[in-house]
Amino acid sequence: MGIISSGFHGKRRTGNAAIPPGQHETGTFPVLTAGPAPYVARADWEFFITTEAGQRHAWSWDAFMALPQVDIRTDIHCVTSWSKLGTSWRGVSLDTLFEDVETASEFTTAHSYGGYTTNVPLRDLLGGKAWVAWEFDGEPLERAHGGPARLLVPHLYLWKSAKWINGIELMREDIPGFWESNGYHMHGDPWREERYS
Amino acid sequence: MTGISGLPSQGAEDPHVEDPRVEDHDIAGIAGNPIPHLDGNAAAGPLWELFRIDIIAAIGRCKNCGAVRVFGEAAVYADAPGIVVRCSSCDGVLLRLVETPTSYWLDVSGLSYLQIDREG
Ligand SMILES: [Zn+2]
Repeated sequence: MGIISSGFHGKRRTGNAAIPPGQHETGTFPVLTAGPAPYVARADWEFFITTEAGQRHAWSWDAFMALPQVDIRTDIHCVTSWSKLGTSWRGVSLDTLFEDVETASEFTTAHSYGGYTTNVPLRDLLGGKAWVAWEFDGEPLERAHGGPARLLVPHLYLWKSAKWINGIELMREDIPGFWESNGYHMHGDPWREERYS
Repeated sequence: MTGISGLPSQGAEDPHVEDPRVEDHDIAGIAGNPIPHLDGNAAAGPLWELFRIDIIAAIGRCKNCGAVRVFGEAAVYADAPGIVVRCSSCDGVLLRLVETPTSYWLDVSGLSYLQIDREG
């Protein structure tokens, strides 16, 4: 299951201030997934934001690529206890995508192709903290890692960075997603070890 | 913590395994399933720990598509924050099992029933 992995001892940099408690550093990029990787052609890909009032904003791949693109260098932390430091991504800031979105909501549900969901408070998506990323290490994001595009919320555990992202739904209340409804934390801050509910 | 011990390792957390991205290049453009999964046996161990029932031969009905199949034929994704068992007909989620330090969380809402033979 991977939560408690007996017999495994990774590189532990005790005292490395970049590694949250209970995490170890990995040099690879493990593929963790709860199902088959959906195949979404860029021509069919869409990213939407729906508001609690029912307003819908949507971008095709071309429209999305025409938005300001930024490079992100960040550490990522998986709840199964690995952390990967200094990863490089390229994508669009959620601040850009939310520019014309009017909402009073505090909560969101991220929806993925394939049916995966995860809840993320809106405050954790805005303010330069989250992106829709389509490039990793200078290459288009591979399907196994969420390509064509995935949510990237690096200050939360990686299960919040939904792969194969399809859109963000603004919610009137905080509704648990795929893992949150099965014992995982509603917020998921690795520095507070918010692993389980 | 007990349980889950019979589960084959997926190597997902092992930093010594080959970089999976190398393999991903081959599958990136192919429709199908590049994510490795196991059969129902992989979930049988943990469920045995919980209920002392061998469900490998049990027959389950998928709530999503209605397929009635032997549990052992289901697709098990074990390299995730929990175990996810999916219908091999429609890929719908049949069962989720999460082990936290204090609880097991078992969601069987994707199964409309499990028919388990009584022994003896
Ligand atoms: Zn089914």
